[in-house]
Amino acid sequence: MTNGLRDLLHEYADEAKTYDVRARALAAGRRRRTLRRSVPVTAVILVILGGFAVALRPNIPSTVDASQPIRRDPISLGGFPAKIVPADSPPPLPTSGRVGRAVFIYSDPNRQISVLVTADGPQYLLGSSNMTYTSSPNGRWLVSSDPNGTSHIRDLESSYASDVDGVFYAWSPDQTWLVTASVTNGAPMTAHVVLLDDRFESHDVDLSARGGWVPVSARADGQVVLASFDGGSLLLSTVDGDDVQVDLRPWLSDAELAAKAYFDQRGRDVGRSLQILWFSDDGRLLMQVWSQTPKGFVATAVLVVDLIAETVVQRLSLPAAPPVGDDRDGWFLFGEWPDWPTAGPAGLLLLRHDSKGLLLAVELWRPETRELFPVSDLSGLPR
Amino acid sequence: VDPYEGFNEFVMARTGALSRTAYLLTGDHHLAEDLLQVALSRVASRWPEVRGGRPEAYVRRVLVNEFLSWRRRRRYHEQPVAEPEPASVRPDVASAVVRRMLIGQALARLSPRQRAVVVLRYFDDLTEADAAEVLGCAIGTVKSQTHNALARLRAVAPELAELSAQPQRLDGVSS
Repeated sequence: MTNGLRDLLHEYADEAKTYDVRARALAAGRRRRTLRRSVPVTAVILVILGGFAVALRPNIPSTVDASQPIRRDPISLGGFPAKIVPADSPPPLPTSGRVGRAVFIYSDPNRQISVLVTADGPQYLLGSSNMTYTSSPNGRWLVSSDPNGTSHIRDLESSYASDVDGVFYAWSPDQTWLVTASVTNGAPMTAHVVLLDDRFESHDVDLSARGGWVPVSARADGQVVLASFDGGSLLLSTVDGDDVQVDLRPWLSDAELAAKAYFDQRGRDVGRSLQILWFSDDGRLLMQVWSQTPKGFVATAVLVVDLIAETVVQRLSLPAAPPVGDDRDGWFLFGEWPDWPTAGPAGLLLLRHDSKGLLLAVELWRPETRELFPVSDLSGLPR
Repeated sequence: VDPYEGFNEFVMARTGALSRTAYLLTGDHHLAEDLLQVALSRVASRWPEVRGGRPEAYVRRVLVNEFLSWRRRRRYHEQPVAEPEPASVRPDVASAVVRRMLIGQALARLSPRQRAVVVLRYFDDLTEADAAEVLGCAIGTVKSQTHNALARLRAVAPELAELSAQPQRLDGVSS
C-alpha cells in the first residue's frame, strides 16, 4: 500500500466477508471434472457414427471444395436492377426533394464522374471523381466527402441536407448516427457524431490521444465505437471505456494472419476499405478476412463476432475461386441480407470482381448451402 | 491417490484474500460469493493439473475471467444507473463509511475490464505483465486500460483525491 488508491481499495475490501464456499466448490468441481473426462468417450462415439455416415453417403467428387459455389438462377433482391446499364447523360442529383433509395454508386473513370443508382430506377450524376460518395446500408442517406475534409449529408427520401466537418467513417447499425472524422496525416483526430434527423445535431469526440484507433461505428446512444488491433486480437472501445476484446487467432490461417498484419500496419484503413467491419444492432459484427497469396490479397472468409460474448461464433467461407489460372474471379463483402436472424445471416451480399479488380456482379451467397444467386449484373459498367 | 489432495488446505489458506478480491470486483456480497464459488469449482475440476504450478495465479485468472464473462452476459439486461449524487462531505468530516461508499460508487462506474485492471494492479499489486497474463491481453492494453480507468475515476469521483491519504499518487501509481 504505497498510495491513496491502494489504501481506499483495501479499506473497501474490508467490507468483504469470508465466503466459505469450499465444500460447494469442491462438489461442483468433481461434477465438472467427471463431465470433462467423459467428453473424449462421447467424441469417439461420434467419430464412429460419423464413419458409418461417410461410408453410406453418396459419392461426392473429391474436387468439390467446401465453399465451391452451386450456381442458381438470378433473384430479385433489395431494389437492385437485374443489370445496371450506365445512363448516357444522367441528370445531376437534385439538391432537394425525394429521389428514392440508393442501391449502388459507380464511377466512370473516363469521364471522371460518379453516378448514383436508385431503387426507383433513375440514375443521377453525383459530381467529380475526387469526391468520395457513400450511401447508408438502408439507402436513405448519401454522404459526399471532399478532399478538404468536409462532408455533405443528403436525405434521399426527403429534402433534409446539411454540411458537416470531417470525412465519412461509419454508420451506426440502426443508421440513426453518422460518424465523420477530421484527419491529420492520415489519422483521425476528431470524430463528429451526427444524429440523422431533420436537425443533424452533432457532438465531437477528441481522438488525439487514441493513436491507432479508428471510428468504426456508433452505439444507439451516440457513443462512437473505435477499433484497433492488438496482436491477433480485435479491440473495440467507446470513449467511456466500455471495451471489447476478441481473439481472432484461432480462426485465422497463417496466410490470413500475414494479410492481417500487413493491413494492421496501415492503421488508418482498419475498419474501412481493407478490414470491413459490419455491425448489427443486436451486438454482432461481420468481419471480412483476407489471405496473402503469391498473386496478392484474396478475400477468403467472413467472421461472425458476438460482441457480448467477445468471441467469434462463426466462420463463413466465401465462394472458392475457380481454378483457371490467372483469370480468377473473386468476391468481397458488400453487405448482409436480409437483417440478422437469430442464427446468423441468411446470406451475404458479395461484389464479384475479376482478376483485375473490375466489378462483375452483385451476388447473394448462402454459406450454409453453398448457393450463389446473381442479383445484379455489373459487367456493363464503365471500365 | 486423491486427485483433490491439498485443495482444501489451499482454499482455507486463501479464502480470505480471494473473498476480498471477489468483493472488489463485484461490490456485492451475494455476487462475490457466487463468483468465488464458480471460480473455485473450475479450479477444483483441474486441481490435479494446477496444484503443481501456481494455483493462486490460476485462481485469480479464473476469478477475473469469470467476472468479465458474467458482466458481458448481463450487459444488455442492465439498466443504466443514475449518476451518483455528488458527495457533499468535506475531507475533515469524511468518515470511513463515506470513503467506502465513494470508492464503491466510483468502481461501479468503471467498465468491467477497467475495474478488473484496477483491482489487479492496485489491490493485488500485480505488475503490468502479470495483469496482462491474467486478462489474456497485451501489456500495452493493460497500460491503456489503467490510464483510462484512472482518468475515469478522477472524472467521476474527484472527491477521492481529497479523501485519499496521498491524492497526488492517484494517477501516478506504479508497481
